[in-house]
Amino acid sequence: MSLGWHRESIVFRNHHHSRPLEVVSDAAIATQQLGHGRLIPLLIIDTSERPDIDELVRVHEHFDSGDCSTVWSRLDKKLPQLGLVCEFSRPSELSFVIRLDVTTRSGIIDQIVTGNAVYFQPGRTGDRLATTLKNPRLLIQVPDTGFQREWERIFLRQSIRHLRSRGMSRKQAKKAGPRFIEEWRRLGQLQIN
Amino acid sequence: MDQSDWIAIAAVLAAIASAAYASRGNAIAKRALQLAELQESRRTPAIDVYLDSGLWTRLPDNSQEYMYLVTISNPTDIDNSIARCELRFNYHRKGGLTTNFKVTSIARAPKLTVFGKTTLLDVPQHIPARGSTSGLVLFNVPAALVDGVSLESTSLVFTDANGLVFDLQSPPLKEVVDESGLAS
Repeated sequence: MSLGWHRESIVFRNHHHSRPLEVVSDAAIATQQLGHGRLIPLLIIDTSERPDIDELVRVHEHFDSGDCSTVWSRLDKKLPQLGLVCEFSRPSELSFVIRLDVTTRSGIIDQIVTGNAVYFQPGRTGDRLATTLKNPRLLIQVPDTGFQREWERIFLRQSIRHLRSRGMSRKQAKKAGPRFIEEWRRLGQLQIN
Repeated sequence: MDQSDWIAIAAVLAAIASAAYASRGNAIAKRALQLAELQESRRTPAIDVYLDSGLWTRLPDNSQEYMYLVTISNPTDIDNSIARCELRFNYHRKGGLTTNFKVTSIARAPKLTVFGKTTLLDVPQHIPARGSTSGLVLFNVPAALVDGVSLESTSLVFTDANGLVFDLQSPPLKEVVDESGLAS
């Protein structure tokens, strides 16, 4: 298994499919029926340009399960943006990339990385979980393929930056960073019984 | 001719004999390599799938049943098995969307007995080295999946125990109409 950033080619059926999809909103869902009631992050993605993904979700409703492999990627060396590449092989064969901005979505990325799962829901600009609660969504497993170690570094750096933007000194932020992450993860470990 | 000429001639003859011997050795080595490669290729997993015929029928609940009579051969010297058999549907919807879905074979007798006493191909299916197996693979496609879609093509996708995927384009399928109502 390769650790750290490395080059890897991903084949898309269509060049247009390699364009990253934007996150409309994020949330978390906990149900007793799944994952022992733990919080599972949810991403609502703008699929207005990708009707095949809407179709995948429609088709998936008629199957008990599907197969999807995921890989984390860096979309731009200069920008703090990550891409979650999802490659479905069942029930449909298609791939897409979700753009996740580390500066605004580090919390949800951390929940995905540590929880190894994410709900994926197709949507349109303005959609929120509260207004689309009955919409279909897919649960995607995101196993650690060597990214978690890299993520620990990124998340710590981002947390320190966040704390500094809240008025802390560099020294204070460096000291408080690990504690901030610990508290955030404690929140993510909430379970309903 | 003096003695040195004889030595030169003897050296040339020795060189010719040596070249001939080396050439023969080269030919033997080439043949040995070919045999080794052939033997190695027989240990590389592969299967041959022969599609005898394919039919489909519409069931009373509007779902569609697809039946294929297949023969699977294992031409290699190692045992293999079919781990998964799927039917891939390539279709398009209104608005130009072209996509696909795959359904896994089911293990039950077909609703329509159109192939006589044909046995179902149990998947996973073991195929011994240089052995063959044949049978009927059956797929059920729920009505909701095909409602309002235009079928473009179908293909059978076999995955062996080594994870190798064999994709077989299906020929145009014949539709069987149940006039007796037996399938209901």
